[in-house]
Amino acid sequence: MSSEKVKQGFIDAIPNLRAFAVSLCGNLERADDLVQETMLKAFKHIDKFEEGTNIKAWLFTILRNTYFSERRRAKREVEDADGVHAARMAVQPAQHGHMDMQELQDALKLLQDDQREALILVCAAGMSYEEAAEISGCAVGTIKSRVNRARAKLSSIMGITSADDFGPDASTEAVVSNIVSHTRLG
Amino acid sequence: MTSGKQPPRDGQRIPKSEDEKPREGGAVKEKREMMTRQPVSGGVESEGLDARLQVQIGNKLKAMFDEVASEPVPDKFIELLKKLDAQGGGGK
Repeated sequence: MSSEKVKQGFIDAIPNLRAFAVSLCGNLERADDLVQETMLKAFKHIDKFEEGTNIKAWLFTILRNTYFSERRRAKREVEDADGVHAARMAVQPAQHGHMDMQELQDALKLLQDDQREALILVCAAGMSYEEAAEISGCAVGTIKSRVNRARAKLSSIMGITSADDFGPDASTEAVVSNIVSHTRLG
Repeated sequence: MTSGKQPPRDGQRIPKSEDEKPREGGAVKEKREMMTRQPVSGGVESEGLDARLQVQIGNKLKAMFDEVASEPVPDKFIELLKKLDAQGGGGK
């Protein structure tokens, strides 16, 4: 059923799929589960893949659809059990050792899902805007603005956490934004 | 370092809801907010955006991705592929 070429395409795509999954969910173990599910789905629907088209993009699409549908489901469950969610956030293991990376992953979690995804596809995975749009199922312009917003947000989050000049004005504002983000996220 | 780090003064939407109870606005809260706070306005793009910070973040994102992407394919995936292939793809 599956030609050697497609199979090879699968194998070649795995490292990138894993990296994409880790970047999205911030956890290697979960990422590997996602990759595995992606492989299963891809095989199941392999007849839908048009040979000669971008297999990596196709697999990325399956993976992100899997991730986001699980996440939507999980979110509903979390609303019932708030404490569990908090616990999970707190026990995030430092997969990559460096403190730096943990900081980045924490910051990524503060982004909206769609913005985080766009940022990862374009800035981390090196996809073109067109590819990213295809994978996320939206317009190229949408991807561009998501990337811009994600960048701006991320750099203000990370810029603030590493800034030493935390003046009184900044902390007053911090209280305000804290309240705002709580109302938003809550 | 640079002086362009002014907090945006127009963009802040101060919530008028009852969420704004000032009960526990002490030091505890201040500590917490350092971890969780988010930028308030959506219009931060051009102002205060340190280009160097952008580059740094871009590099970090790539490094995070490449670190995993450069790992060899775990055996479990090769085995899974073999198994799936033996089952004959599109079936079931």
